[in-house]
Amino acid sequence: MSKHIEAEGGELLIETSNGYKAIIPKNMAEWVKEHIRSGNHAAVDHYVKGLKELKPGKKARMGGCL
Amino acid sequence: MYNIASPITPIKGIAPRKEKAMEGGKWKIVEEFNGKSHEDGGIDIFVSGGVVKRIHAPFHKPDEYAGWGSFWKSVGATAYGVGEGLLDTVTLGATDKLTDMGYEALQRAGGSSEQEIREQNSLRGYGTTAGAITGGILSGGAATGTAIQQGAKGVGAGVSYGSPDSKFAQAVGTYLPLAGSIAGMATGNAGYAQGSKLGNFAAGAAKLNKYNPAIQAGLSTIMRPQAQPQVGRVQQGIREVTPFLGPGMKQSYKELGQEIAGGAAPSRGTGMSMMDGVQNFGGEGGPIQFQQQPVFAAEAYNYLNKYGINV
Repeated sequence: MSKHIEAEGGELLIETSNGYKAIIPKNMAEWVKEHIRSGNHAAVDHYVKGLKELKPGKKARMGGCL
Repeated sequence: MYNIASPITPIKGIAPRKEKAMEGGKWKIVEEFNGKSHEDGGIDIFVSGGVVKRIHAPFHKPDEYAGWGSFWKSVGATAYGVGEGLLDTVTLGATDKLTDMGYEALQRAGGSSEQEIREQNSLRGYGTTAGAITGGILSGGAATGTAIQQGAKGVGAGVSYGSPDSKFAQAVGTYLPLAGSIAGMATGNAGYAQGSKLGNFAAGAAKLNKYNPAIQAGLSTIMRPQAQPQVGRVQQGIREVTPFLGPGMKQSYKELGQEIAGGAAPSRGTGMSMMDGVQNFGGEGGPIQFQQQPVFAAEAYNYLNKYGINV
């Protein structure tokens, strides 16, 4: 899976210890940060699973990287 | 050094891995994006497996907009490439065939699709290229305070000896980037522990060994301290600089070897002159947590400061 993604200011990049990364939209960034700080990782799991999963698809447009 | 175009062959003894569940892990914040909104052009990033990096692509339309959020599996070939680089360091390059086999086994064990395998092959070449400062993160465990401190010392040693005007740098010559990045392995916010993919890889590699005479021969070479394995230029450079490694760095190597070996490697003796004293795979060893480091001192120090580590 390789993608060129456009993020924006205020969004959050998070990762979990069992091998997932996620970009959190800015309207939920504070909520996610609070739950991570408080150790409520299950809530973050639940939320992230509802996001769009990036899967192998069309070739990334950034030729030359891969 | 690596033939990334080699066909993928099924590996005996490695069972397909079940899909890893997201639940049960601990989340942490990697980055809070600061910059433009989507309306103003946004922030271009490139993601592939465990690699996330900013790119400058003002004239390319992105494949995805992250406005509504997204997630993906982050364990990828580049992370493996970092581990493989370390394995190569420990064995001085005598296990190229072994690591090729292990790499393929890792792909199969990881349940990678054919397309992912092709991408990983490309990434792998990038991740293991001399001088590659991939920033690839090995996922799988949480760092302990002790491990962080030990790694911080290791980075201090690596950076100290890795500065361009040092004897270390002169000894390494053009190989400084790779040697520096390996010497700069340190604990970080991610790593791999026993039971993780890379931990399992070590065990898988041991199984592979039983089926492949070529690997047996390679390991036999490693097991004889007096033997001089055919090593590449980079490995030769690393061999030359090992006398300049500080005690903290050697300790990091020791832990690294223990983790990579996963308890399945030879108990002692790797043919690494000047490193035999620290290359003892026996005994207890906690999971080492590390992340590939930049070569230059300022970058390394900044990185560590980000995690509250002062070296």
